Amino acid sequence: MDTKTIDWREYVEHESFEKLIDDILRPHGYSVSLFNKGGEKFIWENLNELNQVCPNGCKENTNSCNEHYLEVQKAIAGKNGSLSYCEKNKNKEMVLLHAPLMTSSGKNLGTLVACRKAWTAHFHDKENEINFLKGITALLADKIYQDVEIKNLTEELNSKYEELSLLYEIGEKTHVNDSKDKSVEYIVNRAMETINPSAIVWSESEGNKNIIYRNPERNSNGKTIGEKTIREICSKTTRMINKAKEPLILNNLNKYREFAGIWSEAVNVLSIPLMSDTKGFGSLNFIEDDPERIFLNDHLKLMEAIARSTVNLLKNSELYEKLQKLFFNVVRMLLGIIESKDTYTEGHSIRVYKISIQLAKLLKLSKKDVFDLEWAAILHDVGKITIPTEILQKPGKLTSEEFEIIKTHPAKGAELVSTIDEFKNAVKGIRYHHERIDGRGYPEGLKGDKTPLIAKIISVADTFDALNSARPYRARPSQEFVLAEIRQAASTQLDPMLVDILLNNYELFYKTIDEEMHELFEEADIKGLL
Amino acid sequence: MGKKILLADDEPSVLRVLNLKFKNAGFEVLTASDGMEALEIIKKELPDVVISDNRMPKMTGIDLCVACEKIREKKKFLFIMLSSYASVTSKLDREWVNSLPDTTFIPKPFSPRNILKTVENYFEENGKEALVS
Repeated sequence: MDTKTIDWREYVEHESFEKLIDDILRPHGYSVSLFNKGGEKFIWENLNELNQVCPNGCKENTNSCNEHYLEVQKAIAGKNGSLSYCEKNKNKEMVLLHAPLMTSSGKNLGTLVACRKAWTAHFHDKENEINFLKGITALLADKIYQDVEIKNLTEELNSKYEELSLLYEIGEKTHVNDSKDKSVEYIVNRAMETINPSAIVWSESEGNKNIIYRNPERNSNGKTIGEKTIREICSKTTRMINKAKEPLILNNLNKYREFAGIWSEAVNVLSIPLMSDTKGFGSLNFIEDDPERIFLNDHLKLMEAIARSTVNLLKNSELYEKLQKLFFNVVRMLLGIIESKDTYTEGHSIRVYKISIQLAKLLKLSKKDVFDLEWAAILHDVGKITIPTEILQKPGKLTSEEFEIIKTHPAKGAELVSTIDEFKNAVKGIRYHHERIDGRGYPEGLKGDKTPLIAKIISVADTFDALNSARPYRARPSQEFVLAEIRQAASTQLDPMLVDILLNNYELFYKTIDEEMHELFEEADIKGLL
Repeated sequence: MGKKILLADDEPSVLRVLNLKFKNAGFEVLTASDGMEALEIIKKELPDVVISDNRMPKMTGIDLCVACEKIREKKKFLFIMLSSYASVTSKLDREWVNSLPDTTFIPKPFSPRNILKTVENYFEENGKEALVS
């Protein structure tokens, strides 16, 4: 521990320390002042002010002889550390002693100056008194040093606590299905609080991006390192750690040839690669523009641990995204098959999905129900895969046999989808979306509330979209016509409550079907599946 | 005048770290190393904040929290319960703690900085009331 840079005056436990001085020195009639190595006085918090006679109170002409006064001043300034004793004060009544505050391990912490009135002496001779004072100053110095050490250890412990909670929290609070950016931002922010550098840069290999996070706690006093410089540093460090594949501490960049003159002040950098066995994701770069605050091996170890969890997280989120994409593409393919067979209904599944979601929002359905509804709506016509294309694409009126075949599609679709565990609640929506309130629907002819809500919603959406669609044999009908038809269908075919909702908000629903076809899964997520 | 805070934990290192943190932030810090001692100090000193471990000798943090309920009717104060998850404090206990007014559960290992932030936020939100009491 370097006591030169530590002002122990801040570290001393005042209460116990001052009591110690009071107990030991006051009975002997001393008043005492302590100075640190820089010659600054230790201010008592609890001791009586009268107890401090010495410098600054130690004026040249009052307490001591000129010669000795200068010696004391020198000692206080740390230039002379020996113990001395002066009896030659001008009024012959004061005795002045000064001694170096030397610990038993030989560290010089400053100076002790003690004064007493000549007549209060309890000592028989000068040597005795000097020895006494020597012992006391050594004791006090050790006590001070102990306090300093405890404080330092506590501070160290404090930072270990922070580090531990950081590691713990990152494991706890980041989840696979959080977005990658959100997770990285969380980690960067927590690392920022713990290490407290000027800035952290998340350099992503993909797209060669450098995202700079400035530390909001560090005020910029004009000398803040510029963004351009940060980017320049990061592109260099990234190249270096990509080659070395291990973390890097560069304290005072200017001393390295590659970085010479990059910034007017010394900049410290800690660079941690984010690498799995197979892939580099980029790096985390910690930038510190205060030359005094260097990066230590401790920081490096901590950040390595954090980099490991970050890499796992990135790896997982990448797998998750791939899986999600694969899944969505399979569903898209299915829709493609349905629609290629039934060309009249291009985009129908997607519109039914959107209308259903709109209804679900107005009904304030639970997340879980919305999830089931989403998939049921998207896949409601999947059973059409099993219907011969000639029937689906037949331009004229269907024969009753053909119609019977068409009527099998909800049950067939439900059967197909029921093999997927995650969709077991969506199956009902598919199976019953052609049931009618009056019981004249198919496949089972369920009446009224026997039909599950999820199917009723799809039924309304399906009808609404079908009514609105142009057919080869007719143009797109007017709004008035469609709304009148829907109103008429209420309580025979469709659930009247749902129809009411639709009619009361018909502008919203028209907007939904008329807006440009968005990517189907733009907002969807497979979270509900996991 | 600085706010009075009582730290109760049988682990000296925890006391030491929090002591430093809160002293530096200008609090008047009192410490206790078991639940009984903590209760005595609370009765006598009526602190503005109590941060207590759950598992302590003589009296657990939960019991301390129960014992404080009466006192807190007269003098409102923030109670922060520290404990490790699951092993020592059941979910039920944690939920109970979090359901009390002016009472928070913080899992160990904790971040001293976050605890200080929690306390400071509390005084910010309850600023005027806390000053009056």
